[in-house]
Amino acid sequence: MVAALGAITPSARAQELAAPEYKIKAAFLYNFAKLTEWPTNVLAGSNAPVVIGVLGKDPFGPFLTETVRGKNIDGRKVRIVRFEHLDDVEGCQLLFVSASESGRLQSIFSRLSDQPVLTVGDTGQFARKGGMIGLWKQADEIRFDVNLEAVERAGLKLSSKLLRLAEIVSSKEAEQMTP
Amino acid sequence: MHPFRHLSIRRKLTLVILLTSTITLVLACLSSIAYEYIRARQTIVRDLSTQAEIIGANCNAALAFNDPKAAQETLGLLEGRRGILSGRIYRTDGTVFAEYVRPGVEAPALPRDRQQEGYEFKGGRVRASHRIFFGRDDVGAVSLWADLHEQQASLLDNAGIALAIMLALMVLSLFLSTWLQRFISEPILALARVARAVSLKKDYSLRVTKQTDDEIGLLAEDFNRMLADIERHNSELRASEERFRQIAENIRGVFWMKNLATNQILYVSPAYEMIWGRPREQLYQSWHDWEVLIHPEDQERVRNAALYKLIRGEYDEVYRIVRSDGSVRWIRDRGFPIRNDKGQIYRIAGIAEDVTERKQAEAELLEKDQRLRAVVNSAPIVVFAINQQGIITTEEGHALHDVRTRPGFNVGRHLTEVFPNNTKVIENINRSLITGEEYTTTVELAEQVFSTWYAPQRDESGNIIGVMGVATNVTERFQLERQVLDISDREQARIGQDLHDGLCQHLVGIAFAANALEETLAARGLAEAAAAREITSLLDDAISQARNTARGLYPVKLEAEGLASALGELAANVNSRFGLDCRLDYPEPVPLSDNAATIQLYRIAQEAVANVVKHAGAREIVIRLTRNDGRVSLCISDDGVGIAEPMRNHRGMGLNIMEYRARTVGGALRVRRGPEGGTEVTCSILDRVAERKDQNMEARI
Repeated sequence: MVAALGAITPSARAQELAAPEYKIKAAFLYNFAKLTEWPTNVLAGSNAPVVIGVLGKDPFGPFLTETVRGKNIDGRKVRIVRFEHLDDVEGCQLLFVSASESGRLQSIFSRLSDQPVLTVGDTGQFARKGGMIGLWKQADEIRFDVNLEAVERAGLKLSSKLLRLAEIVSSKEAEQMTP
Repeated sequence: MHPFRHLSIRRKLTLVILLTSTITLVLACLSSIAYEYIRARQTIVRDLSTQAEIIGANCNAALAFNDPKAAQETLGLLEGRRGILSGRIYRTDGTVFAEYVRPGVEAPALPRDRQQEGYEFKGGRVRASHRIFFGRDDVGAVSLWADLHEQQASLLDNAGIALAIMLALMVLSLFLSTWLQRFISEPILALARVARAVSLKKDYSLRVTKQTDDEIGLLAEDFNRMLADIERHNSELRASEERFRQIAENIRGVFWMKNLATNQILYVSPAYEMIWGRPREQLYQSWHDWEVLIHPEDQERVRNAALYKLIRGEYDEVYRIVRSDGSVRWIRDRGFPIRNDKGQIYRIAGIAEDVTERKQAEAELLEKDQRLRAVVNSAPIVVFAINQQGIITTEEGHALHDVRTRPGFNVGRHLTEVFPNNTKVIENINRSLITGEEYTTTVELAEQVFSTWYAPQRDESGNIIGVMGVATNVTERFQLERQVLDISDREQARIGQDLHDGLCQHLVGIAFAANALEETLAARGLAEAAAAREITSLLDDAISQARNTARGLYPVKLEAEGLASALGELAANVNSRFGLDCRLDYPEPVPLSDNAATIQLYRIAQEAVANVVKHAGAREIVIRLTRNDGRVSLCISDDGVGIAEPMRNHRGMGLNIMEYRARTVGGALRVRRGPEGGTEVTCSILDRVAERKDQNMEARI
């Protein structure tokens, strides 16, 4: 799919726009982390890094690591941690839920419920299903939804700038679906 | 040489005020406009930058999440800002992320360096660019363009207003300066007017009216004071010049003054034209003009004197000038150096006098003097003068040879040195020195007799400063006079003796005969007896008269009984013959050893009494014989009409004879009016001198 995108975008601009989807998404993850405010007890110590976790099969390849290399957020380094299983998830502030975990979303959300972890996913209806930020594609643009209830429940605050760019969704629909 | 040189003070002041205020106004306006302009630009830039920053801050998330729409929306807000024409947001790679262009405005070209932070002005527009950060990440840039036309228009409006205000202020300033400059220019112009009037009319009585109390007021006061000073100075100068002119132009000498350095004649008085007979202008043109007429023989001497003596103050030359009519005038020319304040000679003043008359007078005087000298030196006289200290100052005359000296030999010597033993000379001179009396007496010197006239010499204030005199050698005359007197005396004596011894005896014989005749006739009883008695009586009278005459001619008593007795007989005789009260008065006996003196005194008395009887109309005669200090004095006084005062001019033979007699025996005779009227004749002789002369005189008398 990456190869196909590159093949169909001959021009420089098109090539840029048609940059590998997960490169853009990696930047989005990093930007989300910048616009999120965690409760004060979460990042104890001024040197504690901001940890971005990837649960399930990592779709980013090298992009995520490259994106955050040398970067920092409010003076904190950014670390990438990958988790095989839900049980391994520990000590991260942002968790990208890979498509490989789309079947276990409810258990993931209930496991992380009330934990100050910003959950981001790119599977369909991710935010409506109880995730906090869901990525989706419109034309060639990457857009995102924000489930404010989930965010507030976790005790997190998202910047208005983020919210202004986002589509706000509710998880009622998904909860109703869940018995 | 400034450009306002020819402008009046009024104009200058107005111009200065106007220029100052205009320049100030223009500068103030310009700086205010410049400030306004700069401030407006700064404001625009700041506003635009702020705007760019705000937009950047609002769009960073949109850039980060690649959401141009959101950025577009934000840029769309610029529509509310009228001055902003367009705005662009760029990605980090320089591509346009979002853009806004005000409708109807042409979008500006892409800035060459989009990354450049800051602002730029270009073609009436201003651009402000700002980088956009998302957190610490540079996510792009924003550029805003704003229009400057509005600001420029407002600036132009402001400038127009400022210009209008400035013009109005300039008019006001012109009006004010025209009005205000009077306060300064008026007093100055008044001062200038008076100064000009003074300088044109030379009228120093003009005064400036003081209008202010500032420096110009002081200047006016000082100017007035200066005018007053000049006026006073001028009038003093005029008066002084007038006096000088009166002196210089009325003086008969030529007053001249010349500049030493240039030899230019500065002044020469009008007398020059009269004496030199040349116009003064020629002398003013060339100072050599005065030399032209100098007598050729005097020219070199005078030129040299003018060259060398003038500056030394020793120029005093007498020279001749030959005038054009050929007449020669003598000139005495003197020059005096005049020094300036530093003591340097810078002018010569002089006076040239026409001394021709004086010169002639001098020559005449010299001739006269020489003539006189010739007379003096050939006549048997001595002319002498002695000063108050007794020093001989003049000694001239041929008669000096008679006393074995020569003219001038004793000049400078003291009297006592020249006449060590001659007290009479010293006495005589002292008499004139002390009493100031002018008199004549005889003096004997070296066996010569001099009739000497003494007269005091006085200075201007009348004080006696010496004695001068003329001594005439009268030795010969004196001897002749004495001989004449001797002869007459001898003749008188002989006649007297003859009368007494001849005629009287004869008459006595006739008287005896007449008496005998009378007795005879009486005895005969003849009537002729009475006539005979008459003849006898007449003969007795004749005898008596003859005897008296004989006695007068030959005073027998004088030789037999002395002077007093003889004088007594004289008095008695006068009493009986002329019915006058004549008496002899001698308080003490006066023995007189000198026979010559005795006889002369008797003869003087006789002459004096005869004069009284003949001329005085007196009733009383007193003959007084006294002796005092070795001096015998005979005085005959009467109560008659007195002698006429200027007796010297009318002295008769009698007086002269009396004087000769007195002189013969070294005495002095004085005839004067008596203290109570009448006449007083006094003869006094030194008995001592008489004694000394005794031997000489005795033989002759």
